[in-house]
Amino acid sequence: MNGEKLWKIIQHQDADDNRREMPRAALSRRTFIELIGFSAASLILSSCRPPQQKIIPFVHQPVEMTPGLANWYASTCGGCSSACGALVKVRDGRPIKLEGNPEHPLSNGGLCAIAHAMVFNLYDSERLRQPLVGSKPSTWNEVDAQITGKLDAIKKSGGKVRVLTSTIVSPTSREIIARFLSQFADGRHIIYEAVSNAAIRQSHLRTHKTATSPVYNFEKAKLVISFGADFLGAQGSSVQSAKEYARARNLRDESREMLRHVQFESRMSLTGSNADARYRVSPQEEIDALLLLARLVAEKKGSAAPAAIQSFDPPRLGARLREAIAAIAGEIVKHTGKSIILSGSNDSDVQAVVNFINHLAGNYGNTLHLDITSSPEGSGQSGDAEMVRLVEEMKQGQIAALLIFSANPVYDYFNRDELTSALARVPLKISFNSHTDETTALADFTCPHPHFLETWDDAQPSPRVFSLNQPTIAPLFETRPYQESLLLWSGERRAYYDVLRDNWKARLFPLQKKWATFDEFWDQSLHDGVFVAETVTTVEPAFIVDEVGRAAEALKSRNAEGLSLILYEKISMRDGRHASNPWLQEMPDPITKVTWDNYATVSPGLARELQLEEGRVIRLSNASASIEIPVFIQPGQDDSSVAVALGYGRTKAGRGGSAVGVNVYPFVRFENGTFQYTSGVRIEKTANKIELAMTQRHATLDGRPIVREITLADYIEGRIDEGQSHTSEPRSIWKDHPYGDHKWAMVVDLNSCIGCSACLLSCQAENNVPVVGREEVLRQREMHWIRLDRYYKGDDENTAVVYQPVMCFQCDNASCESVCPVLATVHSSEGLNMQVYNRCVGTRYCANNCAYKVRRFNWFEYPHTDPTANLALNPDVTVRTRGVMEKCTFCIQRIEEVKILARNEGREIRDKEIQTACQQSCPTQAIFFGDMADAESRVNKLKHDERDYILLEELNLRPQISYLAKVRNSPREEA
Amino acid sequence: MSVALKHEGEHEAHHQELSPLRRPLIEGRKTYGDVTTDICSLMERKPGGLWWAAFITSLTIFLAGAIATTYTVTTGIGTWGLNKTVGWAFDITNFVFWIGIGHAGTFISAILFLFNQKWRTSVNRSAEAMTLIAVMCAGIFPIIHMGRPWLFYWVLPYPNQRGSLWVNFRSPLLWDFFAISTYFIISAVFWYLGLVPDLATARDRIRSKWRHALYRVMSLGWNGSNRTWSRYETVYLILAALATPLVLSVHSIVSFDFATSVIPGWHSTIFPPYFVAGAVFSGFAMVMTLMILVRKLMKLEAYITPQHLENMCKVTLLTGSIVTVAYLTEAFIGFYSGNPNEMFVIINRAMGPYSWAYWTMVTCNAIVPQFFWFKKARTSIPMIFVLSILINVGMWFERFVIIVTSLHRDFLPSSWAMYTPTVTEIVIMLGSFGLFFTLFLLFLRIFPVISMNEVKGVLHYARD
Repeated sequence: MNGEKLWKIIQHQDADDNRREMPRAALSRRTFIELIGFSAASLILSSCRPPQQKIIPFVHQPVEMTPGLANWYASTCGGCSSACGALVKVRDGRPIKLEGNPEHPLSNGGLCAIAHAMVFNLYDSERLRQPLVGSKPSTWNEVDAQITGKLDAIKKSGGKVRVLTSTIVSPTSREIIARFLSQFADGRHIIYEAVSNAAIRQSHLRTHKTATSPVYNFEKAKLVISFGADFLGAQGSSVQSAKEYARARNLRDESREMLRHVQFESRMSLTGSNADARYRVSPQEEIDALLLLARLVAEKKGSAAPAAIQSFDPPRLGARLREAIAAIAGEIVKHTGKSIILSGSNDSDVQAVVNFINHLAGNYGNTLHLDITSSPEGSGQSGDAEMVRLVEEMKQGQIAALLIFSANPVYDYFNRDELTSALARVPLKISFNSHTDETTALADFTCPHPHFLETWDDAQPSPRVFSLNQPTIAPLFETRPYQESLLLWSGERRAYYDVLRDNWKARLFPLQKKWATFDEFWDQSLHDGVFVAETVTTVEPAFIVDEVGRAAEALKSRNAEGLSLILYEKISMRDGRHASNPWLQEMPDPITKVTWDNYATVSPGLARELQLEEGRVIRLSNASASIEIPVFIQPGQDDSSVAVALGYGRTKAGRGGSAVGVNVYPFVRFENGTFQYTSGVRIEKTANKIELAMTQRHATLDGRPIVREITLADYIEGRIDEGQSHTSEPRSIWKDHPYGDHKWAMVVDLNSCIGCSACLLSCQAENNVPVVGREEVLRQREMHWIRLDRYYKGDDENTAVVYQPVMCFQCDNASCESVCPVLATVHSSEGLNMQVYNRCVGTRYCANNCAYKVRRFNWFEYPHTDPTANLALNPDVTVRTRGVMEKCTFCIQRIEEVKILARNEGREIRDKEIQTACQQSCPTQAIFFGDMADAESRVNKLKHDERDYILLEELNLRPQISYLAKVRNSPREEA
Repeated sequence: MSVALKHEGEHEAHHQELSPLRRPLIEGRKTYGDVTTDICSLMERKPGGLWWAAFITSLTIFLAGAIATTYTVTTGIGTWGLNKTVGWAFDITNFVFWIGIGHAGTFISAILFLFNQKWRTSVNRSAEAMTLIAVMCAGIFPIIHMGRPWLFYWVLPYPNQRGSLWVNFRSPLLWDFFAISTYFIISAVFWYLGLVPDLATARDRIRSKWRHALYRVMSLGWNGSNRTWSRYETVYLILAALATPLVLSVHSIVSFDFATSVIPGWHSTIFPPYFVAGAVFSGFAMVMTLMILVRKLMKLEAYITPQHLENMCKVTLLTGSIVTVAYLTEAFIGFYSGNPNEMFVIINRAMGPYSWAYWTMVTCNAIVPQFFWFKKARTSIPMIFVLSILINVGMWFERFVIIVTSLHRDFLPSSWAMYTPTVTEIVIMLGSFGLFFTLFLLFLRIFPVISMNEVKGVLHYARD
């Protein structure tokens, strides 16, 4: 059948060709001479062109590679230790984009903003290009010779060797490190996380006798009570959490059930901003609330509680809070086994009480699991105390060699001076970091590790899940995986790839029964990027109540007065390791919308009291540190605390990242065996003022129905359109556009969007959106094609937040189209509003007349002069020049790609086959794209959802994006 | 060459029935010969120190503007204070301002001509020159405000080889192009036609070789015969009739740039008449400013009398009052519409961050002209001078308020932004004033400042 069809097509084409052929006429002498003359002239003219660069084709073209077509490889994101599954898009040998791997059991196709920014790091021309001896470039042979000599000497002398890394999620790498260390008389692997969550493990050691972090399952939960935990933002594996959280709160497809989320917190976190009920508490009140909740749950459950909890009566909590906590205790009991209680604290006393409530609520084994058989943290993850001890040992001159990978303690250790002087006493310091960062600058040898897109690796993000990381490009620079260096220095000259394979053969291959041979197993795992072990044994350890009493006693005695400083991680900058990445620096914080800076968030009440205004520089000081930092007035922030983001103030983070913001790591305390991120400070006003580069200056809706929000109760009762009457279809003076086979449209579910801004970075990477820098953001000229509008509701104390992703609405009656004098913005037959860059003369009339203000103008020629950085550009998307307008295109290049594919395969485009960049990686799947011409398409059905509404419908612009109203799972009187 | 200086007496066609009780339009009992000598000598004499000082100052400011413009074109619109929300500010404000200034000339020469307002004769020549120069100044801004000004000709509907690429006839910017170019051409022709008899006079007097050659060519062989006069006046009348609707159309169409948009504060049906009244208002104010300067600088007190200024004050009072009504209507409709966005614009203008600009506008445009109800204000030249300048400040701010306050806070509060001009923009704006005065000062030296042939028709002497 197929053959026949094909034949017909060829025949058809032949007929066409014949028709086009020139009629044959006898060639007269005159015509002949004319033709000769023209040919000669054209030959001469064509040789007048400037010399052109020769493009050398592949002598042997790789089988899988077709120029102009992208190849996708399943791999693992190395942006943080969450190790989400990623698909790497490779065009002509260059990885240009990371997307979520939909088959990955944890991240499920989602990726965070950092993952998208990692492509920039790959082509960062400031990465180290060869090994260094001191600060001088050297060769691998030279470096190896020197290091081996020194290590041999240590082996003989029996000196202490330490490998200092951040969390290593790769089981094979951990093994290599262990093997390397086993050569020495005293070798230890110290895991140091600048922003630590060691208290969770430590508390489980106390309450369950296992130093393990639980694996949360938000999808199963009906109730989440969070005490300052930013689990949707920077804490833990946020993509996975966000994905499950959004699923549990999904109201599409007739679902009427929704997870309820209550947050107690001092600063306004991304997670808190999404809560159904958010209680603004001081850090001290947060602990009180937790203890009171423990008492009430125990009472309601009739369980025995330690005396310290039974007798607890919080002096500080107001009546409103007490009532709320009582109600929550009732809800926890109602949803036994279906709730999750979390805390963001790194204090094991606090976490022990959290464990106690989770235990009372019957959550262990249901919504959170402690897996002690093969947990990565169980094997080898060390606590914060070990880092402190290491510094102590170094200070005493006991450490003979320190090998550092993926850690930058000189920047982020709380006692920097002590560490620096301690480091000076270590005779051999080797850094594997890829940049000359603060720590590497002090190293004797630097053996740069390649970018994760250039190297093999594996990862075990959760006990059952193993994923593979494969190189998608040959190393750009003279780098070598640290694993190979360690192997070499252990006397094994082997490629890391071989070790990895052997390790998988020995350990993981037996964990499955599907594949008979290892090669098949390997190929499949490599293809999928992930392997999920079939057999896993979970042990439920018994709960030890005694520790809770001790913890509660300790907490009750703690009585912090005065102003507290809360240190937190921003979702863009995290602990500061990616500070040199300008995409992340320019990513607006979801809540404050500030780019390129950290700042002290101060409550409006405190600001009034101290007469502070936005941008006013204040001095925060205590015994350990003193900094000057601008103020950001944050509604919803508690009055007795200020919060400052970590990860800023790097001194050696390249051109873009150095001297951005202020380093607040010196305020970190080491107490109770862990790093504490809250400390008491004094606040002083200074005379200076700094303007913060914000992408959104106005924060409230002013009563405009822009973001629609209803309560779950109203939604269930069908009272969805209260006060928002639909008017009859307004008339237009223009005729409707004729549309062809497709009409692209989008639906954004505001109930799913958590504001994480992964879409923004995904769009930036996909569409070659330039970074403009702090000064230009100050002038309100950021270029992002998608923005996340954030509005506050309520008052300064009871602040609710709503997010709204806004990109080009592709209006049918586009106000931009009618005003362009040169027809540079036109309507396509598929309903897209297209911007013709090379026709645009830059009158900006379209941007002025855009009701949604989604158009972005190229105010300057944004430089594309760095040849290495240019490799990150998506060749399917034009790089825009100065003076032209640009905007979201609905990823027209992706639409066309699928259209071509479908045409080649002789079929229709399938629903959901086209995914825009913002949609693909959305961890919460808030964005839906599809064809309105297809009555059965997902997007078409969602447009008929009750919650569907059109922004600024009254203007009759007929936009192709609509929103699904946000639903808050809160009683009506709170809304 | 064969024509003698005879046409001075041939003004019967213009003979007017003026009451002897009326004050003469031209003071000092000038004879025809006096008029010719007075006006032509201005072109024949070497310029005085005051003229040079004014000229060099203007030229310097213009050159500074030219440098700032070059900087903009070579570096990018980013050198201005615009942002993602406010895409137009000083650029289009200056454009509309200058187009508005360019309204008085044709109004005086065409509409007042049709209404037989004889007092126009003393001021129409320079008012028309002002119009042409102002339109030239205005024309610069739509070009340099483009992101890629070197491609400005893409806005023109010229035959090209780019297939179906054509201009967008739905775009008000395109209508602007047609409206302004038509207006400029008609105004220029009208002005030039009015100049021809005077150029012939100059041709016959001036001995300088170059000047003589210039005026000979430009006077198109004028011979002052009855037949020439008769045809000349017919054509002048027809052109006046043609130019009249243009006075109304140009600013109506300029107002469409805003009126046809969706932005609250722009989207308004009141704009065409409101803009036209405002344009005539500002144009007359500018004529008054200039005439007060010219009569001093060129010693033309006898020709441009307080009576002329008083008449113009009356026009200013009328148009200023129309503008005031427009402001009130706009505010009323804003509330009456029940549209929260419209209401917000009105409140934001009056009480928002740009309220200072709004109240400057209201003070200068609604309150200042009310002084002209008083004869004392209308006849005091220093007073008129100050008030007319204030009116132009107000009218500049009117355009600024309309453009910036509407754009900076529109539908979605997330995109709200502030606009602050940069030095580059300010220098470009000043540069346009520099250009305006440079060209105007040149006009004063090269062409007869006062329409001699028309003034002679209204002399007392003619009535005796």
